[in-house]
Amino acid sequence: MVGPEVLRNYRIFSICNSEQLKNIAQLAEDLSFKKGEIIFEEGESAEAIYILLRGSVELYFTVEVEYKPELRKELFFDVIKPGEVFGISALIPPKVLTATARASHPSRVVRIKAEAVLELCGLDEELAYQLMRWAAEAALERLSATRLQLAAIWAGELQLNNGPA
Amino acid sequence: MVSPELLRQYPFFGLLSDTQLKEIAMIAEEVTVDGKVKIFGKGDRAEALYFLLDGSVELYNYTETSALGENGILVGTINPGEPFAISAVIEPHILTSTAWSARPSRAIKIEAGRLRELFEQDRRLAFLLTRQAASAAMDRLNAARVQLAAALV
Repeated sequence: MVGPEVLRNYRIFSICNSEQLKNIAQLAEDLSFKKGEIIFEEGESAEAIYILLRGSVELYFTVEVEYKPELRKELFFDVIKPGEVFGISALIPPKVLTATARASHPSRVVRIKAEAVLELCGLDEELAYQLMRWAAEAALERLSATRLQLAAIWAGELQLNNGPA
Repeated sequence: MVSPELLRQYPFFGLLSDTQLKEIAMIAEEVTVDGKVKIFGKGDRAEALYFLLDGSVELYNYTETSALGENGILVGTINPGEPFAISAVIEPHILTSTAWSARPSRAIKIEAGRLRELFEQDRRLAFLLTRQAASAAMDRLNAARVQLAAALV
């Protein structure tokens, strides 16, 4: 369990009242990951949302070309910094993870079971809307950033980046 | 106004009650464009949520420094049955792409200001449509990443 006061500091939970925060905190666990450890993998069912407390997490997806294993690449598209939330697919149908998350430094994260959060949302329409509003904003921000990368590549303005520095 | 029955045909509105469908239908209209027409521009305030009925709409993006002109690069295509200008229901309500019809097209246009008023009155409606918009954003994110991968491999 994580203290409700820890959660209150994050925007996603800032709209929750004390009772809701207490309930969500009971669903949360504090986890540590060593550098290089996988937190979740693309294609898996999205079962939890995560808040990064300390360290750094890189999000990437893997591209493979059939019959050409030498062309397998990890494409990095985001680095999560302390205070940021990731694993938003757990709140958005079809709840499948669209990226792999790996600790790029020793990291501490809060993992919150999404199903239980969604159950709480079933009891409180305001909470449900505010959480979904937050998730939609995060999804749109990432979409916008990805399209910008795409436009930059096609315009020849971006060097290909095969991994974080 | 459009018919609530028209809205009911599409999964995007599938979980709405009869009353909610009627409320949306009241603030919606059907619009058509002939040929290649600019529907909205990146950076504009999202004044309406659209839902494509027929035709095809292309989304373009560009970088600040690109010399590609106003249109930029094709980053997505909207097909019949799909929403676009989803920024209308996602803050900060600023459009993230420029949309052009690729051919004669027909769409439902839902006025964003009045839709957000409905959201204030009915949080269940707000939740359901925002979730659909989030889901559309995730689908497009996946498609954009596939395009990105194709450009990089």
